[in-house]
Order: sequence, then structure tokens, then C-alpha cells
Amino acid sequence: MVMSTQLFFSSAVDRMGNQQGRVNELQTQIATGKKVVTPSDAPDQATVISRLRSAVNRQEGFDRALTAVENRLTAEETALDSMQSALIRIQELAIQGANDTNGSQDRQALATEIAGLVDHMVGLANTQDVSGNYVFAGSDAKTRPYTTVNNEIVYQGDDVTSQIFVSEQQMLNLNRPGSKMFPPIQHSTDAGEDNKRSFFGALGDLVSAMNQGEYDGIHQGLEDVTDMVNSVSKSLADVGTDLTVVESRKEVLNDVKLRYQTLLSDAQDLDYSKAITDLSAEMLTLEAAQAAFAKISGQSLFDYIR
Amino acid sequence: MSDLLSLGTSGIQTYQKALSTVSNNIANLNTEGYSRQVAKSEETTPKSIGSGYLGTGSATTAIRRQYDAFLEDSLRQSSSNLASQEQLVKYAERLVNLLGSETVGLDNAFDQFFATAKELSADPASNVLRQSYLRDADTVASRFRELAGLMNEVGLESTEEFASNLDELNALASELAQVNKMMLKNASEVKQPPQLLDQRDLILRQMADLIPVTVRTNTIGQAAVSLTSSFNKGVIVSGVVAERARVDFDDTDPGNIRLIIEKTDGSIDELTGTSNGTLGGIVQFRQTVLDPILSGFDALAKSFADTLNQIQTTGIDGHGDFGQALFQIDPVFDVARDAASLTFDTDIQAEAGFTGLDEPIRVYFDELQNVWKSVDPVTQRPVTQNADGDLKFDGLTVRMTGTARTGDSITITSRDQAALTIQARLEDPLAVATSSVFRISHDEDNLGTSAPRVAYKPLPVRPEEQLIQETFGVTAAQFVSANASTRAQLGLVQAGARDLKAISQSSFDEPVSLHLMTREGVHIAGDPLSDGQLQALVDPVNGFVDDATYVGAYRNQTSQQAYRDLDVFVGLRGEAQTVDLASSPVDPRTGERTSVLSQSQYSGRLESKPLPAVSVAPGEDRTVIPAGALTVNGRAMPGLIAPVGGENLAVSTVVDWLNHTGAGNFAAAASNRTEFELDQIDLSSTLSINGSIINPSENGTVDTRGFISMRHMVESINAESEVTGVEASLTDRNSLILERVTDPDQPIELSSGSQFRYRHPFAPQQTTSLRSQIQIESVDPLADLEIRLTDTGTVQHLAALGLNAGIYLDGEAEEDLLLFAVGAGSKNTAFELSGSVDDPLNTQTEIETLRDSQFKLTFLDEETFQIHDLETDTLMGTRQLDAENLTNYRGIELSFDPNPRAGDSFVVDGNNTGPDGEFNAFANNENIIRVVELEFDPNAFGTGETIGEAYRQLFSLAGNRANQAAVARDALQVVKDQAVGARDAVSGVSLDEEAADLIRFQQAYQASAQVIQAAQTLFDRIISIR
Repeated sequence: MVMSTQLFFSSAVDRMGNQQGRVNELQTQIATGKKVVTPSDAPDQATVISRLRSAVNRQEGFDRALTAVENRLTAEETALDSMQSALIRIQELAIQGANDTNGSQDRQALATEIAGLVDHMVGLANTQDVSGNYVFAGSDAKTRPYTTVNNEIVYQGDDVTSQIFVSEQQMLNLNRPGSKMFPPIQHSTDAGEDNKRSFFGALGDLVSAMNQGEYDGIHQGLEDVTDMVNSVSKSLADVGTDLTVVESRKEVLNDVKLRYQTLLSDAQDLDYSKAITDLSAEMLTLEAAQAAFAKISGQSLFDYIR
Repeated sequence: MSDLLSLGTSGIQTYQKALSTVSNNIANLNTEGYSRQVAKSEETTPKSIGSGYLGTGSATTAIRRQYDAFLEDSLRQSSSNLASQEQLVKYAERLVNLLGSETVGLDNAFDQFFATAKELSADPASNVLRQSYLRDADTVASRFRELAGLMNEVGLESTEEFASNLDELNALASELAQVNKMMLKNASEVKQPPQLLDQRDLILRQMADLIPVTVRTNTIGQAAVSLTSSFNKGVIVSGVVAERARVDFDDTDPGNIRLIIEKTDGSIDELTGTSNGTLGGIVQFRQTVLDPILSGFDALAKSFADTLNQIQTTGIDGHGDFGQALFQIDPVFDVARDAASLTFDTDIQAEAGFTGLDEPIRVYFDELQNVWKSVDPVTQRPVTQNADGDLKFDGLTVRMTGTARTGDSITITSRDQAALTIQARLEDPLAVATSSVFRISHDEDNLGTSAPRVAYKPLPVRPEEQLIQETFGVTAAQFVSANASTRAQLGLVQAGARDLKAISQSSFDEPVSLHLMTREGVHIAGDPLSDGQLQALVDPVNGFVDDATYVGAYRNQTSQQAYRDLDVFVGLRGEAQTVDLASSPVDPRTGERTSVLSQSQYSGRLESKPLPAVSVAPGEDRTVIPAGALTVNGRAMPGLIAPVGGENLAVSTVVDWLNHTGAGNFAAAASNRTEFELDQIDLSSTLSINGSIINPSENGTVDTRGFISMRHMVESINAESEVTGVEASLTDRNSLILERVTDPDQPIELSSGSQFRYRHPFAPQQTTSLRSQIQIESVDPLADLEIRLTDTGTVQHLAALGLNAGIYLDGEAEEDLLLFAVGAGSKNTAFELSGSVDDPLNTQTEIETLRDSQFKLTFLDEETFQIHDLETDTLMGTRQLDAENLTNYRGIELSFDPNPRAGDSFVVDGNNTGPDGEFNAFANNENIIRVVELEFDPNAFGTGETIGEAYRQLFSLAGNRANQAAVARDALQVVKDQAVGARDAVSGVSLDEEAADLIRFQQAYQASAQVIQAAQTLFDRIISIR
């Protein structure tokens, strides 16, 4: 087929321009380190990248949520741990106090120490986190949960246990209210009826029984303290379990994050060796095209007509 | 002998032309649109020389353009197709780059927003995090606006390009018409100068780049062009006439592009389905990419705003109030001028929170009053321009400026451009509603270990209830006629309704009682109901909750014993009235009139209907009203006993019975007084009262002519009053009053006075007995008169006294109440209803009142619990947990796990139990958790995918379209290249070819010259023969 001179030149220029474009594209990819430089280069790929980027961001959000739960749990664990030691000490003191050989002054001295320990425990029950929230106050986090009303330590918080998402499917308890951590002590009376005494109320009773030398009260208090040690241990165990869950959740999360990041990197990041090889190949093609053009375009029949 | 010289000359001439043609080809090597020309030569007619023919040489017959109409046509077509895809790719890629950009794109704005929500859910009390949350909400809103703005800009650019391309098309069309005009000089196409034809073809190719064209050429080579596939429509060039094309864009619908050809003869062709060429590419882009993406983007913005606002407004913020909407979407107003006058301007200001017009507003100019007027589409109330020039509508101010003329009017409509106008409107960090509405706490003494949960899940409002509620709430007083066969639901008294008054028109024989109940089945007011009636009534069909249990303990009780201490009154009330009397007596000293205002007190009074005929057959219980069934002004009434022997209860007996208890407090009296409307009175009838003939004729019988006038009748009756004890008087309200002044406890017997006449003036009956009524009045001029039904009293007891019965609720209903009428038989009864609702259909009002109460839930067994109002210790209902341990009490969803033990109790409050009812659940994160959930809940936005995915879908819609178009473009490029090549093979100029031709023709030319030389030589030889 005959080809006109004009078309010959214009198509050669077009082809070299396209080749130049491909070289430029590869060069930009290499310079940015990304496979998809503008979304329009590969709209389908860009969607995948956006989706994976969101997934990674979401996992980072969960990571922060887990850290928040962990901080909270650690604060609770510390408080509960100290409380347990205090209770064990109270238990020892109460056993001493239950001994008939003690005089009233000895018992009062013991009572004073117990009272000091109870104050310490109230302080622990009023633990605050870094943002100033009372850890054991339920959702009423701005109110000091254990305060003295009419010489009784009364719980002022509420019952709310907040939960937060630590993954798309799983929620964990963020806090445990004082009403659950330091539950009332159940007394079984002779009549077989159940009645209850608040946690710190029972401790107060023990102190006054020691002061007054009421042995029934001291024995009841001793029983109560044993119950309290048990319930605080149980609370500690609960918190410990939750901490374990947090730990394992964190591991899972890291795995998930890593997987998403790998996928993201696959989708987004440039394979340099391939890109550089491609670039040399394209450059070679371009140079060849240019050389060929230079040679062929110089050819004209007129050159040979002398 | 053949003429060698002329043979040579003809050859020279032929090759000279051929050489100039080749030279011209070479000269036009780079001329756009130039077609290669070829000189055609032919042998001239040979000469006969007897033994044969001798050639006479050659002649150039034509210089031909190398041209193939079919190839030209396919080139045009392929360039149209390619141009459209190029446009589509160009514009679609711009959208892809906007939506997918890391900096302007929405995906990371969403990510950031939800990440902050997550952080906030872990520490809702933190003001810093609340502030970040608001900031990130603002980022999302501004990204929406930015992106929508940028996409609109792309749309605007495409319209501009369209318009400029259209200008080009119009210019080409006139150029073509010009070419066509020049062609008129020649009789056929082959005679046309090739340059003119090349110009024609070039113009056509340029047109085809812009828009697909159909071309038809006539015998002289003139091209007619149509923009459609036929020449019936869309012709833009025909002969020497070029039409003008113009375009209309639609502001509201980017895909709606109207391409119109305005013809010189005044008619109009509207083109549809332009999809190729540069112009078609733009149309395709706007229809298949821009329009769906913009509307999808708007929908995305709207559902995002609506969903978050819904969560925000159903949660409690840091101030303890219901949250305010987080996002605001301002409607965009369109003003259409119905009249042509352009001398006025319109400015529309919407109040914050205005959501748009459901119906258009029409504003018209009233030339008589020289103001603009309209009607508010919401309230239906007329709106007139005020002194500032403003028309004030519900939530909207329209300012009209400039001068208006007679007949001017505008129509205002609104539309949402959610993505373009979405704004985050909260600035106060405490305004973030992180907390749930309700909270549940267990009692410290509970023996069970149940962990209760509470959520706010408003129950759907039933449409049929709304209807009643609306008419009830809007109309101040109206009579409702209802079929009271066994029961009739009169309606729902919505929570927040005030000062309810419902009175039924009841009779002794067929009493109709009204009942007020809660949805939970607590009977607040009404007669005692039988088991059968209760079974029929307490049913979800009638608006009760599914597991409503009937509670009768609060029925007709007052004060502390009443349901939630509601101020409910059952019975009938006559209100004390104070009437202002204005008089203007003459001052005796000055002689001037002075205005004096005095007040007159009227104590509460009730007037009965004529007493019904109440008799008890001998041997039956004669108690008509048992003792204690009624109290009058707080005094309990003793029993009312019917006379022995089946006689009717006499009016005087009832009056005495009342006065006996009422001494010093209230007084009763008999009266017998009836008012008749004048136009109901038949003056031509005869009348006898209590046996005395009122209008006797001379012989003592009735005067059959009746009465002359009303006055005549009144005078005649009063003339006999000594005997009959009955007086008549005319009122100023076109009525006549008949009153028995002596022995008012006795009836007035009306008759025609003749056994042959079957009606008297007051009724179409021969005889009528007007029975006495009772008037009861408080002694204290400032006191109401109240007849109350106790829990043993019934509507029938009041009906025995000729009185209606009703239910009055003073103050506000704190929850939805159901109003029923229960009666015997099947008949229509009239009811009088009044009351007011500040804000009908507002569920928020109900939930606000619900929050202000605290409820105690007491478990009777593991599944059943009672709900008590903590403040008034009122039993509000009994509930059963369902299989999932769930129940919903008025929008409060309660769940218990595991089941509580019998005797356990819980308190539900509105998170506001701090000192003075202050909010104190700062660390409650239940509401913000709902926001966190949105991020990965595929159903959160009703789109079946998460918000991030919905956004990415839009993005990939543009991407896919760009991809498709790019693939099509590459394929079409090949087609076009082929078409170009094919055309080029015919019409293109190749230098090598021309060089060869040049040599060929040059050689032939030289040879021809040699022939001439040969002729010369021959001639010389002949000359030189000596």
C-alpha cells in the first residue's frame, strides 16, 4: 500500500511520542516508588489500595482501643492488688483481735491500724486514670465513687459497664464498676434469710466491733473479710483474664495489620527491579525508533535523481 | 502523412500538464486536506489514411482528484467515534483522580473520623477527644463540599467546552455553505475546482470530529449535512443555507443536555441521543459518569448526615440534653419567574435547620395593595410582605426588591445538594452525644447476679394512631361521632397533650361511658368493666402494648391514690365564671358618660337535661344511685331510692336529695324551661297548655286559624299563665322560651287542644310533655360545681340526674393515653373533645418526659416484673421477658442476662441522677459506640455496604467508565488509523511516487521534444533537397 509522505512523518512522530510517554510513566513510578501514581492510571487498583489503606487505618484504631483497655485494666489490677494485701493484713489483725488475750487498748490499737488500712482501701477504690476518670465509678466517672455519708462509706457511682470495640466483631469491657468489684457481703442469718452489708460498711462494722470489743462482731467481721479477700481475688482473676484476652487480641491484631500492610504494599509499591528493567527496555525501543526514523526519513528518491 | 510536429506538440502539452500536476502535488505535500491530483491523458482521434488510421497524438482530458467517497465517509465515522471516547476518557479520568486522591478524597477523612470516634468511645469524658471528634466531622463535611465543588467545576468545564465546540460547528457550517455557494458556478462535480472539493471534504471531516454527520452530495458537488441519520431532522447545512445549533444545560440535572437547531425558517429541531464526536463524548460523560456520580455523592452525603444526626439526636450530650444534629444540609432554592418582568429581585434566607420545601411556594404581586403575597405551604396561612420587604414563611424569609408590575409572580422550589452544602454545625465539645439516653442500675440487695442492659429503641408509631392524634391535637374542640356498639377507640391522647376534656352525650337507658387507659393496661378513669369487655378492649389492636396487663386499682381515684398522682376528674364540672361588664353611666356632676368596668361572678352551675323516666318495678332493688357513688363538691351523696310501686322518680325527690347533702355548699332547684327556635314553630297550629286552650274561638273550642303572629302567641300564652303556670317570652336570638313559673317540678303538657288536630305549634305531635330539669349551683360565687364519680359510680348514675359524664385531665399527660367509649347497643353518640398538644407527632417530647421519671422494675418471678413510677410509687404496668430475655417499655429496651431472681429490683433512669437531676454519665459511651459501629456495619446507611465502600463504589464507577472508554478509544484508534491509511493510499501524496512520475513525465516530455526536433530535421532535410 502506498503511504503518503505526510502520514509517514506524522505516524512516526506519534509512535515516538507514545514511547516517550511510556518512558516518562516508568520514570515517575520509579521516582515515587508507587505502582499507581495517579488513580486514573489504574482505577481498579486504586480502589483496592484505598480499601486496604482504610483497613490498615481501622486496625490502628483498634490498636489504640486495645491500649486504652490495657491501661484501664492495669490501673484496676494495681488497685486490686494493693487492696488484696491490705485485706490480708486486716485479716491478720482481725484474727489477733479475736483472741481473748488482748486487752481493750491492744484491740483499739489494732482497730486503729485496720481503720487506716480501710482508708487506704477507700483511696484505692477511688483510683483515677490519666484523664482523671474514676476507674471504679461506672459511667459516673467525674464523681468520686466512695465517699463518706453519715459516717458510712457509700458508693456514689453507677452500675454501667462500658464496652468498646477492639475488632469488627469483638467488644471488651472498658471498666468495671465498684458495685461489681467490691460487691456487698452476704450474711446468712440463723433464720435462713439472706441479707447484705455493703463492702466498706462491713469493714466499718469490724473497726467499731474491735473498738467496742464485741466478739460476735469481730467474728462476723473476720468472716466478712475472708469473703472480701475471696471476692477481691475473684475480681483480680477477672481483670487478669481480661488482660490475657487483651494480650492475645493484640497479637491477632498485629497479624491482621501485617497482612493488610503486606497486601497494601503488594498493591501499591513498585517492584523496582521490574520497573528498572522495563525502563531500559522502553528506552532501548525509543532509541531504536529514533535511530530508525533518522535513517529512513533521510531517504528520498530525489536524492538519487541527479 | 501524419503531422509529426503537431504530434510532438500534443505530447509536450500533455506532459507539461502532467508535470505541473506532479509539481502541484509536491508543492502541496504538507497542505492539510489536499488530495493528490492526476492528469488524465487520452489519444486524440486518429486520421484515416485509407490503409488504416494514423494517431494524431494525445491530449489531457482532465486533472482528477484522487478521491474515494466511501473511504472519506468511513474516515469521518471513525473519527467521530474516536473523538467521543477521547473526551469521555479525558473527563472521567479527572473525576477518578479527584475521588481517588489521597489529599482531597473522602476515604481517609472517613477513616480519621471513625478512628477518633473509636478513641472517644474509650474515653468519652475527655473534652480533648470530643473536640477532635467535632474537628474530624468538620473535615468530612468540608471534604464533601470540596469534592462536590471540584466535580461541579469539571462539569462546568465540560459545558464550556461543549459550547465552544458548538461555536466551532456553527462556524464550519457557515464555511461549508460558503463553499457550496461557490460551487454554483459550475454545472457538475467534475467541473468543480479540486481545491474547492478538498476544502469541502476537510470541513466535513472537521465537523465529524465534533459530532457525527450524515452527508449527501448533489450533482454539482454541494454537500448537505444532517446531524441525525436522516435528512428529515437535524439538517444543519443544506445548499447555501447554514442553520445555527445551540445548547441548553439543566442546572439541576447534569445529564440533561438539549441540543437544538434553530432554523432560518423559525422552526426548531431538538436532537436527542448525541453520543459520538467531541460533543457526544461530553454528553456521554455527563449522562453516564457525572450525573450518577454527583447524585450518588449527594445521596452519600445525605445518608451520612442523616445517620449521624439520628444517632446524635437520640443520645445525650455532655450537658445532659438530647444531642443536636451534627450535620446540617442547607437546601438550595430555585426561583422561577412565572412572569416576564425582570425589574425585581428575590433573596431567600432560610433559618438554621431548615430542611427544604415539600411543596413549591408561589409568590405573586398584588397590584391593588402594592405588596407581594403568598400562602405558607406548611401552615396554609396567608403571608404578606412586611415593611422591610420581607415575606416570612415557616423557617424561611423571602425578600423582594425592585419594582414589580401587574401579574408578576415567582415560584420558589428547593432541592438538596447535600454534598455541596453539608456542614458540621457543632462547636461546643460537650455537644457530642456520647451517652445513651437511659441507664439501669441494680439494687444492692439483689440476690440474683443478672447483668441488665438498656437501650433506646423507639417503637414505630402506627399510622392510624397518628391520624386521630393529629385531628385531636390541632382542633381545639370538635364533636366526633362514633359508633358505640360495644366499644370505640376515640383516639390516642399523645404524651405531652394538655388539659384534656372528653364528654359523652349519654342517656339513662343507653349509657355511653368514656375510659382513659395507658398503653400498658392501667385503667385511669371510667366505669367498671366486665371481664368480657376487658378482654375485647385490652388488645394490641386497640393500641395497647403486646403484653399489656389490666390494672384497675387506680380507676377514678384522686390525688395520692390516682395513677402517677395525675389530676384526673371523672364526672361533670360546671366552671365558675367571671364576666366583665362594661357600662357607661352619666356622671351627675359633669354630665359626661364615663366608662366603668365591673366584674360579675357566676358560681359554677350545671343544668340537667329533662330528667329521664326512672322507675323500678315492684320487688326489685329500688336504689337508683347507691350511696357513695357520687360526690358533689367533695361531699359524698347518700343513696337515691326510687319510689315504691313503680312510679317515676320525681324531680322534687331528686332536688330534696341534693339539697339535703348540699346545705351551705351547693343548692339544687327544679326548673322547667325549654327554648324553641322560631322557625321550628308552626303558627297555624292550635295549642293547649296544661289542659287550657290557649287560642279559643268564640264557642270555646280551638280556633282552627291558629295564631296571627309570634307576638300574638306569646301574649295568648301569658294571658293564660295564671291558670297554666306557664309563661312565654321571646329572646333576641330568634327563639322563644316556655317556662313553668309555678310548680317548676311539674311537667308542661303541650297539646293541639283538639282530638282532630294532630300537631301543636312546637312539635308535629298531638301531645308533648316537657319534663322538668334540675339546676345545681355552688353557693360560693367563686367555686366550681363538681359532680364526681367515685370508683363505684357509673355514667348511668349521672344519667339518672339528666347529666352527661366526662373525663377531665388537668395538666399534662406524661405518656400516651388511650381514650375509649363503651356503650350498649348500636348507635351514634356525640362526643365533645378538647385539649391541646404543643407539638403533635413529636416522639422527642415523650422521651423527654420519660427521661425525667425514674422507674423501678421489681421481679415477681424470673420473667415477670412490675414497673413502678419511683416518684409516685404507681404501678405502671407488668411485663414479661420474651424468649431472648428482652422487652421494650415505651422505647426503652431492657434485657437481662441471666434472669433475675424473684424480688430483685432495678432502677431505670435518664442518666440524670446527679444533684438537682443533673447529667452524670460522662463515661457512658453507648451512643458513641453506635458511631464506631457504623464504620463496619454494612446496613448502617441503607446501602448494603459500609460508607467507605459506598464511596469507593462511586469512585470505581468513574474508574470503570474511564477504563471502558480507554479500551474503546484504543480499539477505535486502530480503526481510525486504518481509515486514515486507506484514504491516504488513495489521496495522499508520496514524494517517491511523485519523483518517479516526475522522471517519467520528464522523459516523455523530452521524447516529445525529440519528436519535434525530428520533425524539424525532416523538414530541414526536405528543404535542403536541391
